[in-house]
Amino acid sequence: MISLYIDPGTGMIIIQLLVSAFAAVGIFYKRVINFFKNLFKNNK
Amino acid sequence: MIEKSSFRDPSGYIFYENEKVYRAISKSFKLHFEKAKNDLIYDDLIKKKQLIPHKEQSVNLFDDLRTDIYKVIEHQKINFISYPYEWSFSQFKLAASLTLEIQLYLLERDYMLKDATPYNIQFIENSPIFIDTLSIEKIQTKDYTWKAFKQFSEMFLMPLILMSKFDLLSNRLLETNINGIDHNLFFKTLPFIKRFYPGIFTNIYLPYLIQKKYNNSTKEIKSGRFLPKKNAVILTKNLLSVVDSIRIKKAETEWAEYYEEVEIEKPDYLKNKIKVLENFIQNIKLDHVWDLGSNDGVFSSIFSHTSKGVFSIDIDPLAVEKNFLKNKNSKKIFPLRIDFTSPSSSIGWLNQERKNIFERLPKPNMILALAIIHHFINSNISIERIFDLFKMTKKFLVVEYIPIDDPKAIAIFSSRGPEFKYPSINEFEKLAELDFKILKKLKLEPTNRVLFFLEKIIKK
Repeated sequence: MISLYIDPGTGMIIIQLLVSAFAAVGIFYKRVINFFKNLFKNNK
Repeated sequence: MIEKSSFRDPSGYIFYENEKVYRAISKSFKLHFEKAKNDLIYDDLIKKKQLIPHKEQSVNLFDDLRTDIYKVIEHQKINFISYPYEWSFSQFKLAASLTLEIQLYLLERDYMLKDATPYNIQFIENSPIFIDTLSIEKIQTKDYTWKAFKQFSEMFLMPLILMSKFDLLSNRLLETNINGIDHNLFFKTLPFIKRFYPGIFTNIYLPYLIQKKYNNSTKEIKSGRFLPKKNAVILTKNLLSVVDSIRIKKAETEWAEYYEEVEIEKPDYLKNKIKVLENFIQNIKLDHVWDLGSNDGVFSSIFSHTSKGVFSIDIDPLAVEKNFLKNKNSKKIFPLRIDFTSPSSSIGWLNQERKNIFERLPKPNMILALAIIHHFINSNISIERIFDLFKMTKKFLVVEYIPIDDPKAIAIFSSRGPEFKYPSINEFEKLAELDFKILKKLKLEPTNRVLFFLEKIIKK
């Protein structure tokens, strides 16, 4: 089955809002990890 | 003459006149073009060598333009148009990254790419360049939703992930799926658990789930929503980092390791071959060269100084990858992944949208076919038909004859039945002499292989 576009306007907005929100969480998470990594390195 | 593939975009089309490449721009795109020009978007991207240069031409110079055309620009001509299913992994990845880098640059200036397809990227001297000037659009509302997000996923992201996690040749799927890889194919190919990998979950599985949910519901979606610029930037940056993190497993393939193996076994053989080739080309004028079965390009580099360009072609995607990484900075050697027993065909609308490889590859005046005929014979291509390929050279052919008692040939043909006939060197020579003059014949010590230097007989 070929999945068709949902209403191209609104559907894409919702998808991209959510994707960017998830991405932001990912970026935040990476920052936290890097922060602790750096902390650890500096203390060494 | 209008480019046959140039019909999907209403903003304009490509046409050719007197060997030059022009792009006609329609009135409906005028606002975008003028704005981008005044905001120095084109100048900037061209300066960064990310966008193909153009200069404006007077419309009056051309007859037969479509009536809605308001401007014509002339583009720098690209010597050879390659397609994503002929690229190595790194070439594909560079194309994806460039698309996103341009998108990010544009977003920050309130523009965006209205489509995201690898056909918009070409390689000039091994560097990727964006060729669709009319893909750049001005954003005119506060909504920064990327129209091409789904297309990017289908044409770049999913093929790249499959190349990395499933099979290095997955980009060939784009030859049968001209609009890209759809979710169903992608998820069926990938082990279930991998859809929860962060990059895949966020950018592919989540959109798929949302889409599925809304496809099945009749619920009205609240209008008036928009994607703020900040979110669009995060989305693009995230995609960039996902693409950047996609790598291939360092799998060994038979042929990618071949030269290293040979070098250990018979160091003279390789050195010998390089030396005689260097001597041969000293006094001849080369334009384009096809190196068939180039492996990682070890012989292509011999021609890189004296030719216009070497198309360094191999069937093994890992060998092509090695070749590209090795010659990334070469202005002459262009590695390509092509299987000559099933070369890229004409695809798309009326089979005219994407051209087959022989329509695109510049005809060479030198074909190099080292240690390859036994592979063609193994695919049951007769020696006569192999010469049909060799005859595409305008002048020279250097071909290595592999005798049946060669260890590599024995390994390949030992299980063949009595009806199998391998061409003897005499048969090979006789056939060669139908179309070529033998300039030189050289036994490649310490093996029984023979190198033929041939010149095409120009028939009247």
